[in-house]
This record gives sequence, structure tokens and C-alpha cells, in this order.
Amino acid sequence: MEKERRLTRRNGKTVGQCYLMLAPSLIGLCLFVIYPILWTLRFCLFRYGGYGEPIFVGLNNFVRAFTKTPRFWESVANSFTFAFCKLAVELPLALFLAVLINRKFKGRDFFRTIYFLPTMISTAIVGVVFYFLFAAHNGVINGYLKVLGLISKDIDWFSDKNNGILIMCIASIWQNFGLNMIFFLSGLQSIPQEIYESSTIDGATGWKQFWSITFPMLGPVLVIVVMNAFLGSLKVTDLVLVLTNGAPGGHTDTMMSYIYKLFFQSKSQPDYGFGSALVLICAIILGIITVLYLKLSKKYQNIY
Amino acid sequence: MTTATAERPGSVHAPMDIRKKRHVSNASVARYIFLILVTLLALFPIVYVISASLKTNKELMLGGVNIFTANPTLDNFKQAWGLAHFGRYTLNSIYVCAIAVTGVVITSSMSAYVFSRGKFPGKKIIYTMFLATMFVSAGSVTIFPISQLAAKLHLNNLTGLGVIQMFTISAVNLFLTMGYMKTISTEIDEAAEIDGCSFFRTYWNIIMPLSKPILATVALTTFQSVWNEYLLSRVMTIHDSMTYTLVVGVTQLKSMGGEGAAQWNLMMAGTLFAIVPIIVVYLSLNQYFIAGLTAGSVKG
Repeated sequence: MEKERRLTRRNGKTVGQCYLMLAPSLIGLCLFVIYPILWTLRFCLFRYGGYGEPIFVGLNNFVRAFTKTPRFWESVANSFTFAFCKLAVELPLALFLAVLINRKFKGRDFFRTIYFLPTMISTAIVGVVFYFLFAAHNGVINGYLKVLGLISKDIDWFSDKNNGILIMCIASIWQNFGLNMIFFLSGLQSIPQEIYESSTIDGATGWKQFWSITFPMLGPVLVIVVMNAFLGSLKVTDLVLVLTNGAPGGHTDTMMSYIYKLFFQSKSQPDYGFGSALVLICAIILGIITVLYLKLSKKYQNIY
Repeated sequence: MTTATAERPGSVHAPMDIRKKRHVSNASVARYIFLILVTLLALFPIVYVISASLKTNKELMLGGVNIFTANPTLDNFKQAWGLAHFGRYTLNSIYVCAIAVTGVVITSSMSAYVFSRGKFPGKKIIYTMFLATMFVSAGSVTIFPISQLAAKLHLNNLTGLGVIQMFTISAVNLFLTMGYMKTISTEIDEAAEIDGCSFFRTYWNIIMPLSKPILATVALTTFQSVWNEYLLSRVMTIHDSMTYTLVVGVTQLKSMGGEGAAQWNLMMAGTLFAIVPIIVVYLSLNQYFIAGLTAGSVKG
């Protein structure tokens, strides 16, 4: 009897301690994660300039987004162009390197360490560095191209939309190929070696082994890596802001950098309500892509 | 290249006959050539910045193809550290990182402990809330309401920047730590309880110290992302140039100077201040980084 009472009292105390220990995380989560989302959901229905009373405008912000802001849709298109172009190079390269590195040979750890190094560097700093490299008059890339005789005059890389996106792709591939290589590598290491051994006995080698064993066995990892890389690329913000800042004239802005500038770098008084509506549109676009992608890739996920 | 891919991964080469042996060695030569080529490309921008930071501004403005300068100088670092306030920016970055890293280690280990060991009403709902935020990532665009709230709470300063990042950093840390704590036997908890440890004391004296390996990974990945963060840091510090973090300091030099910047030398030196610490930490502890990323492969 005595013992039982002590236990229940103790449990009550434990429950209190549970709540107390969770409190900091929970308060932080509500303030800095959940509240901003709710704020955005509310203000997308208002016109709000930062001070005074917000004016309720219903769905007007969305109508405006769909009919009067071609620049926003250009930035959405840029995000997709950027994501497709860069991943078309980055992911095959990462997979290829992972396959090469996934065996014991001299210097393996060295290569892995070096390839992952760029991932450690701030995206904004990567933007600054590639801005140096591709600078028009004193950039080293123009210097090399001239020495090689490929160009006779300096190219002003950031005065052309396609070149701007190209440099964004190069910078982003440089920064991220190692990260995806590490993901692929951890996927490759989970493939049982016996499968390769028995297929070698059956006479399968090289490419055949890659396409019939490695690739399908990597399916689940591949699905997650591709989705993360794609969504991450669509959300690119800091690289754009630092590297091109939309140059020329906002034509290389991506959807997130467009919205960021709308909030923080508007020349006139920004409309935060309209900005919130654009945020919501982006979130919906990303959500639709995630759902579509997961549906389409179902057959790869059930490989095991 | 095709010969290189043709190798099956992880195989041990048993030379069967002379032809096979030749084939293998060709493949491995091709592999090395390709890997070294990628290595050079991966290192080039970093080497370029290091060598460029040793050039005078005049030499930088001239451009050209010479990566290495004939007359290296350390003046840029002196100037950047003092005149351009990069010394101050470095301290700011360290301060913000210290707050965020300490905070993340404590809060994520505490929540992980409660979720893996505690029994209390509402556990499922609260847990689902944490889980959901991992997938609902509005990304960088909720920075505006965050910065407004920070101003209201008098947190629009470096301390606030650290505190906010402590909470906005991915919930992956929580799940990593939870996964690790689940592997610690609950018999230890029971023994502690019999010895009179309270729920909290069991965490503080036993479970947290036992979780050190995973908390090291959590601390390192947090340090890396807070040290490198740009968007929120810029918004929170832009009103006072003495509160810039290193990354903001470098990018502000660029956006002020533009194409004809007379301060390339300072930007180069500042860039090095921003990347050298993280590179040194990475090179000395890289297995923790890679472990953290592969274990919680939901990043961003």
C-alpha cells in the first residue's frame, strides 16, 4: 500500500518533468516555426504594408498573382530550368563517383573527403567565389578562355539570362555533387555483396550488373535523393541573391529569391499580403510535385 | 571511362589470366585519372581564393590567368581583420554558433529523452507536431514573420539570431538523437530510478552522457549550418554593421562594391575567414559529418 502510493506520486512528478523538459522546444516550435506559417496563411488574404490595419481583400492577391505578375511566373520557370539542368549533370556524376568509390583502393578516403568538402562551405560564400571566378574583366575563367583561344573578348557572364542560370548551375553542382555522392554511397553499401558474387558466376559483368542489380537495388535511396535534390534546387535562394541577384534585371530570379526580394528589397513599399499569397502558391507547387513524384516512383520504392 | 564503370563495385580482383589482369589495370588507371580530375575541379575554387587573398588589389584588378602571385602579401588579412571589421564579424559568428549549438544539443537531447522514455498525456499529439514540421518546410520565405516577431520580443540581435536558429534548424537532430537513445537499454534507467534518481536526473547524469557520440554529430552539423547561414542572418543584422556575421560581412562587401569593386582583396580575405574554420573542423572530424548526414538523410 505504502509502496503503491509512492509510485503514483512519483509518476505525477515524472509527468510534470516531462512537460518541463519539452517546454523549451515546444515554445520555440510554436513561436518560430508554426506561428510564421499561420501568419502567412492569414495575411495572404489581406493587403498589408507593414503598418496600420491590414485590409481584407479576399482572394484578390491570388487573382493578382495569376494575372498581373508575369515576372513571378518567369521566376518559377527559372527555378525549374535551374533544377532540371543542374540535376541532369549532378546526379549522374554523383552516382558515377559513388560507384567508383564504393570499393577498396588506395586513396579512397582521400577522394571521398575532398569531394564532400565543397558541401561544407556556405552557399552564400559559394556565390561570392563563383562571382569572382566569372567576373567579366578580371575573372580567371575569362582569362583561361582567352588563353585557350575560345573567346577573343571578355564575356560579361552576368549580363545574359542563360549564362547567369548556367553559372548558378555550375556553382550549385560544384557545391552539392559530394553530398549526393555520400547518399548514393550509403545506398550502395547496403546492397548485399552476395548478389554481385552470384551474378558474376552467372556471367553478368559491368554495365549489365549495374543496370540489372545496382540501379534497381538502389531504387529506394534514389527516390529519396532525387526528391530531396529536386525540391532543394527549386527552393534555391541564397545562391541566386549573392551570385546574380537576378541580373540582368531580375531575369535570373528563382521563385524563392523573387519572394525574398519582394519582402526585403522592394524599392517601393512592399505588400506583405501579396507576398504571403506568393509564398502559399510556391508551397502548393512544391506540395503537388512531392505528391506526384511519390506516386510516380512507387514502383521503385517497392523493390525490396 | 566505360572500362572504369564496367567494374563491379566492391569486388576484389582476382587476376584470372593475363588478359584480365591488363584490363583491370587499365580500368584502374582510367579511374584514377577521372577521380583526380574531379579532385582538381573540386579544389580549384578554394585554391583560387587562397592564392588570390595573397595578391594585392592592383594585381586582382588586372586579372589574368596566373593563379599564384610572385609577391605574396599578408596585408589583406591585416586590413580585413581590423579596418573592415572582420575580426568583429568572426566573434559575432562564434557567439551565434555557441548559442545555437549549445541550445540544439540541450533541447534536442532533452526532447528525445522525453519522447523515448517518458509517459505523459498528449505525447502522441506533440510528437506528431514535431514530425510534421520536418515535412512542412515553407523554407526561407517565412523569414519575414520571424523577423517581425523577433523585433517584438526584442530578439532582433545576435543573441536572438542564435536562439531562433536553435529552433528553426531541422528537426532531424531530434530524430537522430531519439534513434540513438532507443539503443540504450532501459535497464539503466530502472537501476537509476531504484537508486533514487528523478526522471530529469536520469537524463542529466546518465542518458545524456551516454549519448555523447550522436550529440557530437548533432553539434557539428548544427555548427556547420549556423556558421554558414545567410538569409536570416542578413535580415537580423542588416540594421547594424557591427553585428554582421562573417557570411553577411563578405556578401555585404560584394553588394556594396559591385563589378568595379576596389575591395576585391578584402572580399578574398573575408571569404577565407569564413571558410577556413569550417574546413579545418571538417577535415579533422569528417567522419562525424558524414555519419550525421547519412543517418538523417533528410536535409534542407
